[in-house]
Amino acid sequence: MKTLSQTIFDMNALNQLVKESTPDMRIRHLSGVKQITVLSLDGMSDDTYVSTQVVQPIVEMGLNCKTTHQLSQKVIFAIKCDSVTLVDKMRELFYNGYTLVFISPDECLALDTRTTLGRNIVQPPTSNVTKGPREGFVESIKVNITLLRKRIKGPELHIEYVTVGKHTNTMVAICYISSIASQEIADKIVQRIKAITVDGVLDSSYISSYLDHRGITLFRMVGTTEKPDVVAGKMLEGRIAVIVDGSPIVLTIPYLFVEDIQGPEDYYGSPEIITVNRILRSLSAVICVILPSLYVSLQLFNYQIIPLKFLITIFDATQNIPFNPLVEMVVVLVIFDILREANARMPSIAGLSLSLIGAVVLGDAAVRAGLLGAPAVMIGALSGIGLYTMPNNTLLLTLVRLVLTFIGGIMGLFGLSLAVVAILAYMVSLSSFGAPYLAPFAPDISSDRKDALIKVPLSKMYKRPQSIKQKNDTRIK
Amino acid sequence: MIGDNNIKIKQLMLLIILIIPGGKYLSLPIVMARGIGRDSPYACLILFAIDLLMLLCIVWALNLNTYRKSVYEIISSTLSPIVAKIIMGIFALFLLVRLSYLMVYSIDIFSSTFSIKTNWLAFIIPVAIAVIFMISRGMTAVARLAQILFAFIIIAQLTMLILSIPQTDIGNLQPVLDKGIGGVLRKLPDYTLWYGDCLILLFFADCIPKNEEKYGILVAGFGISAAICIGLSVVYIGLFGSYAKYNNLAMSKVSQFIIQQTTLGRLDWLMLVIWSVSVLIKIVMFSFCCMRSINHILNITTQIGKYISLIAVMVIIVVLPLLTDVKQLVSDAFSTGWGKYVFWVCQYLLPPLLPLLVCRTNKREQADNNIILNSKSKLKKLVDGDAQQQTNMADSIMRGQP
Repeated sequence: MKTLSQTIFDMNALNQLVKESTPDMRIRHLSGVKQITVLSLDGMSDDTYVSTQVVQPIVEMGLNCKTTHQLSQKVIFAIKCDSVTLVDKMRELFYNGYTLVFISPDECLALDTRTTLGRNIVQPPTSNVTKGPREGFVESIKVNITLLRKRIKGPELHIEYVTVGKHTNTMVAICYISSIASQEIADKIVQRIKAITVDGVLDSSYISSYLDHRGITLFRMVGTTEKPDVVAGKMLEGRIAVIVDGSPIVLTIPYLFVEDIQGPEDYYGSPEIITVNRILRSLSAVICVILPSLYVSLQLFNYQIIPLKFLITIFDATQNIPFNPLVEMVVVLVIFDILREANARMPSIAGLSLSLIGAVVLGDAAVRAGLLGAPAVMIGALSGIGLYTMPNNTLLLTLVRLVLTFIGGIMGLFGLSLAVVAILAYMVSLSSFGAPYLAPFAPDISSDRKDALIKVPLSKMYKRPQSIKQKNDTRIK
Repeated sequence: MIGDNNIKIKQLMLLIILIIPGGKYLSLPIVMARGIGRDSPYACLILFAIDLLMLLCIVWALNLNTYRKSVYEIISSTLSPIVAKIIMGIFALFLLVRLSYLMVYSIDIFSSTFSIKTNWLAFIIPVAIAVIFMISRGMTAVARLAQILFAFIIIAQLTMLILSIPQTDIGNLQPVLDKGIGGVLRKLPDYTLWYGDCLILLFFADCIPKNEEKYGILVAGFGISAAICIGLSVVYIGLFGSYAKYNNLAMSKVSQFIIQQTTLGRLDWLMLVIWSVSVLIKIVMFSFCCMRSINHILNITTQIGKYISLIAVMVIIVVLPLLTDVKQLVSDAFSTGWGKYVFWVCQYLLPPLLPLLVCRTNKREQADNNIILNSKSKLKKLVDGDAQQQTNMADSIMRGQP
């Protein structure tokens, strides 16, 4: 990085910034003992704030100032006011909405005048709750950190800022509770984010791909949420949150598979009911992944396993189908996925009705025309819907389901059992920043199982999750 | 990455419970019924008792192994590297024989029970690929896999066993030892090859974390698995009586008795599939130990070398059945033939010697550590002495003395 004195050799920082100027750059020269120049960015800086907290005090009291120090000590009202000497830092702050005040060629004052223009805080569309807080993150990092700060009020909420993206200069905040989270993991995350050299970061998913498991991994190793209460809860367990400016999705690390079973309102209801719900979610995920492949392999290879009456019903429903069971099931699954994809991209007004028509017309017509069997359509639909009980891994499980269906259709129960074991072996070998991905089931960590499939009351969860490295594992003394 | 092989004692115990019955349910009750008849459960009991003694020796040795040395290192440092390589060679052969037999029978389950018309190779190659994949993820992952699947496999196994009990005929087990215990004892040596599963613990001597000391649960795990195996043997003879020797696969024959109504479908097959995962885990464990033996013999330490030796093991067990009748070969050469005496070196000679060898290794290690400590302190003294000498010289120069 060049210091300003180095830059002055050919061009001073102010001239350099002005030379790079964009149409939305605002420049105000104020003549006093020395010329004072105020630079701000239209839209990114709050005009009223710049006028009343920066320009007005300078005009009224600061024209006699000779140094940056005098300006910051006696004139500027803005609460965040730092002296900056590095051109690159000036550029980064300026384009993030800071106002720069130059009085001398070798340094400027950077004032936090960032606007909070953006969406209001609303209930996140991806995780509606009937119980518990309804606030959701928005696109402004400032607001998001405030939402977090509202929940963790104390000096131990540590926030570290990193700027990423050559052209986007996106601000990324790494947040953790310093007395709980592992410093080693936090440092590792900061290092990895600092090491990112990319043109632009437009969403937290850009960062997520760098924090994921090294190398290619099928399963996601970084958690995401839009709810500040969920992030606060995870931070209280020793996890680290990464907030990216411009994204309402906050990343949480380390991430375990069991977190996908835990719903956003699980901590606001009766533990018994939540336990039943979690068991249902897990069962439905397992059934939905395996059911199509099991159906195909039983039909093709081992129909003897199916109870007789059930077998007769299936035979009646499928005897005139022109496809073999594997092709039939793959067609059903692909149709379901097409409907899902189309629904995600349709305008919301047309979305529901069109997808309903699509599902009813396609499914019913295909069965009536004798192209597809009713059992296959039913299994495909159940499997497709059921996967949404694990929202973070739905798309991946869809892929796994399709692969298993192919294997079941080609190799029967033998291939299916091999494939399931291989997938499990792959999953248990994964870890997210030292936390085993399938903990607390494998490895078996008994204290962590209090908040896995079975949920015990919060008053009995004495320890924080042992599967995650942390400084202080005592939750309740 | 082959190499992440840390396993906790608790995980080892679960693996023992899974893998011992895993293979024994395939054909052992039939093989033993052919030679010993209705008294085969007693032979099974005696052989497990001998295995228990060996396990106690192994556990004792593991407990003494404070420096977490591998078996190869222990034997190599106390006897000689050549002896260590010979023993590793015997281990490799023992495991290869068991693996080949296991593979042939586990493929039989599927090819004769589930999909009769499929080519034999279509079964064995996917199994070999799955084994390579699982070992490449590390034995830590295999141990965790055992933790996840344990409940399902045990439930399937016990369901098949317990639901068959009402169909057993106690009369098939009587008269007890009508030819005396001598008849059973004389036949015992022919079946030792099928035991000694707990020897695989030796290959994890250097993989157990240092703070793990609860070795007693390994014995408990062995007890449970032995009880399950003997139980199956009793149920099998109880179900089939004098016809016990004419079957091919014990488990698939026993499990068919759990279905009382034909309209329910062959739900026992689903349990059989779940149980067969334990056979796969056993194949994985044996393959890993076999690969480690070969690595020790050939001094392989690189990742690529380990992969090559693993693939070599898999190629041998895939190709061997194409060249010869594995069942006959194993039976003639290693089960009843001369081969068993070679294997006894590893099965019955090494385990009792092991605590002694570990003690000697510990003493040597302690002595080496003392030498290093002494050398360090001498070096420190020397350095300190030099510093003092230099200081004295500097002082004398400053004072103008020569």
